Amino acid sequence: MRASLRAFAVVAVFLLALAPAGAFAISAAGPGLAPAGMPAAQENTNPDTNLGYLFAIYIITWAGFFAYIFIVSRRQRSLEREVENLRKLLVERQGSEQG
Amino acid sequence: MLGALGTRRSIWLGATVALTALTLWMIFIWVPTDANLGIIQRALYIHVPIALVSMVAMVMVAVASVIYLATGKKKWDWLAVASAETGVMAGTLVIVTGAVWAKPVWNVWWTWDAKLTTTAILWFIFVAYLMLRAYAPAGTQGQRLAAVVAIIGAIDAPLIYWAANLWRTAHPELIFGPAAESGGLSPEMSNTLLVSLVAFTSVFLYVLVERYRVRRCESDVTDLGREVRLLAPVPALSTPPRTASATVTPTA
Repeated sequence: MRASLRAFAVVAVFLLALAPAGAFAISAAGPGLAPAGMPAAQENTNPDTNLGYLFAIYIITWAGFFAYIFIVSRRQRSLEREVENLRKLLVERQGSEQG
Repeated sequence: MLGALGTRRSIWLGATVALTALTLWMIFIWVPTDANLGIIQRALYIHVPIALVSMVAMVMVAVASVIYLATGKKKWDWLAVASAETGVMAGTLVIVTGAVWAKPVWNVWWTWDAKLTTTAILWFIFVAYLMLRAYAPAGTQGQRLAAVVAIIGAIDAPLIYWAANLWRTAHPELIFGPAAESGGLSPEMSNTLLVSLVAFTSVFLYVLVERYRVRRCESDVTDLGREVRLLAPVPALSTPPRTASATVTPTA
């Protein structure tokens, strides 16, 4: 589980590093890459005004997923410890009952 | 056995990471910018897959609940809980990212549009499901009640899917699934959306499996705790037993 978390952390850093690079690439290219057969853009195509919203969406999503995975992994570790302690206690109690 | 399981999970995680990286490359570099909405349209490749994953999770809760009610097997109840929590988490992200997307496009964070409202209703139903699971008395009664709530709640899922076709809404029409109109997206956009959907499904399944393992562990803790309590030594009486003279008798 800890290894998985570490892997996710590495990926998180990688993704967060990749996203701005891509966004700057879009910003440099501008809105002129319209798909064939579609009219040219007239509204809401200013990268300076919408880039912040796009960033917010990606950061919220990935932060949400990573926060949830972190919470679940912490809960898992604490439960595993509890199971271990209870198993030891059970063995002790069973030993004292037989003794 | 555990080693093999760990290796399989590592391979799965590696594949998910590779897919996620590919998705991001496609979204930010490969796919063309939409002519009408501009760069904010790229939010589609994250918003739509999470929405679909969230809806599938809610339906999965209902299916697992039906099987649990029919068979009474604990594993289906664990799957329902794990799926509900993961679905609520994805649902929260859908609502938040949708609001952030709506602001530059509709100039409002939220509107009482049919699709948005039905999504919010589904989210509230499954939050209620989780609250019921948390506060209901221990035992199967709470689990069965929650299962019924999940089955009723899942009726809302198809309504969300068809909301844009059933009512006149501000939300764009369907671009994905059996009721979607073809030709809404260019091939590059469709491919990016498809890859993103596969990546998010893989992330969702990974999180679901982890949450399922936590639920199984919680059940182990409960069972072991019960066994330990049964074996607990009987505590010695610290106070002397009451004698006849010590009892207080009411006076007339």
